[in-house]
Amino acid sequence: MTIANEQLPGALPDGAETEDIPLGNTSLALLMVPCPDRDDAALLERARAWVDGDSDSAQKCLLISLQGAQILWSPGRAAVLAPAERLPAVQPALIEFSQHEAALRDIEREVEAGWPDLEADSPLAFDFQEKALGRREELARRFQRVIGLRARLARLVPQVHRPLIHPPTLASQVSERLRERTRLIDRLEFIGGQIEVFEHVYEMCSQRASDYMHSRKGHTLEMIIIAVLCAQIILQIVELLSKLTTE
Amino acid sequence: MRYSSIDFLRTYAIFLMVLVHFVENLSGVQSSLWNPTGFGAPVFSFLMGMSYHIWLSSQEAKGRSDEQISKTTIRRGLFLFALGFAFNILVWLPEDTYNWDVLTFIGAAMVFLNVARRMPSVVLLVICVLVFVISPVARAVADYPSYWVGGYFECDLTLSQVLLGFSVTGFFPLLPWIIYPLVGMMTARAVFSPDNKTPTTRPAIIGGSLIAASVLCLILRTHTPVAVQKHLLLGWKMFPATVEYVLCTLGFALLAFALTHRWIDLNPRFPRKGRAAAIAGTFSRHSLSIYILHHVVHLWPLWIYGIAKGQEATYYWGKALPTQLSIALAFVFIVAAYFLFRWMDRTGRGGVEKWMRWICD
Repeated sequence: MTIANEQLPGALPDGAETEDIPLGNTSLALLMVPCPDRDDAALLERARAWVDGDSDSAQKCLLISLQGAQILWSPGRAAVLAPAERLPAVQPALIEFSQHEAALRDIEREVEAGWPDLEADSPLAFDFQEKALGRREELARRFQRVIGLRARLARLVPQVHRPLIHPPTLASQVSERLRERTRLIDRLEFIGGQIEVFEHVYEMCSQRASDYMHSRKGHTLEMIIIAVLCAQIILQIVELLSKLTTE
Repeated sequence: MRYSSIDFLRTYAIFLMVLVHFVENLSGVQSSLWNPTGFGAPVFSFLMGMSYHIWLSSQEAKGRSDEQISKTTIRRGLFLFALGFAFNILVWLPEDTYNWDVLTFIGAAMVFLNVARRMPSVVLLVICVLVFVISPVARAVADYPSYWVGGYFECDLTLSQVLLGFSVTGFFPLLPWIIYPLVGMMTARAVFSPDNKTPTTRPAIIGGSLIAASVLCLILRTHTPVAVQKHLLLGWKMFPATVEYVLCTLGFALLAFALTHRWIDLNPRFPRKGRAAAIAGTFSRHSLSIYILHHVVHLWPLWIYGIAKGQEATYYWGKALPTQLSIALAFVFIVAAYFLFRWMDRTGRGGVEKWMRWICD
């Protein structure tokens, strides 16, 4: 998909191309600029401004310079300023990294959104009561969501933890450097730990709810039997009292 | 949370109760089409179960512990039980101390609801069915008619007769009257559950079915054997609360609540801050006080007048006034009570309900 011209960073050298690449729930706007002159500071600045877009200061783009290629990357936008013959090597690496990063960012966002629910649900991991019965479906949904997150993370980890290519290529170096600069490995580890907390709490909630329902069925049956016995006792007491009355 | 439907139904029960008591006690007129005896107390007891569930939810939302809730409930139950005895002695005079009026029943029912609140609804349903089934049997075993002379309950002051009065033979014995607050509590659980998307459908269908079953019993009664007519299908009677009576009044309470909840609480166009809702709210909040006050204002003058005329205190009971005058007095009382309780609300003076909260909460 081609990006509208008005979104581009001003005048670009001939052969510059933009592409909008879908990445699951989001997309990557990629600007490829064949640029023989590595020291074109003005072009680099314009590209940086475009990659930054209207994002806030915390999300300013990363700049990586490798073998004459300058790569600007931010979530959702990237630009490559490199000699024309190097552009095809950088593009797949950049797209692949962006896919992994977007997938991880999605998981991080969902985990972040789940903390208030987790805090509200955590008492049920200790003690499940009658009044919480109405929340069982909600708890089951959240447990399934956590399992889904864990599955997505499990699929992502081997893709990110690929062994380094030897001898290193421009593409492998771009990929490796971006992973380092975005702390992708650390973030995977942190989010794994966070999901573990969710799993732990919701597993316990599910266990407590299941135990409660199991014992509730038994108790209900016992209470019904007690009620029937009480009815019999009441009738016997009434009979006894009426006998005492007539004697 | 206040539900206008409950306020309106409780106001209806109070109006009916005041009218029936004035007409019966001052003029001796029993049930008639315009004076339908027997619908006030069941609706009142049913709403008590509903209100208890709403109160319970609010207490849990406030974070009160199970033990605190139990203590408050039991204290309230005992307060009402003691108030019932005081009411019997002071209003109905000491010989009627153990007539087991509605206040003693509500007090005992509240203590029972404290146990029932921990039970699943299916167990409560089984208890209701058991109570419904064993009540006619218990009445037959206890020889119910022998306690009723001239249409009124009388018992000797022996422990066995007093206990039988409380459980089976009195005006409002636990069997079968405990069914109403239990069904009220079950209904409130189901209707006010946030998961229930069609809260009024099931109570309306069950209520309608119970009324239909009652009508069927009344129609088929004459075609049944004498033993069944004598012990099971006794026809439309409040004392004892017969099978037909319980089915119909319970069905009526369920259906009336389902309809008012749908038309009032769930209707966004209904003016919740309107005049009608305010009047119903006033009567509903002070229902206990009105129950006691309306007896005091029409029975005490009757007793005093009897004594002043050199007769027994109860000499003029049921023959003091013509029916039209009794009806007029009932309406005058209702209007006066409204203004009295509005004034009490404005000036921060509480009735019996406030004393109960002060003592028990």
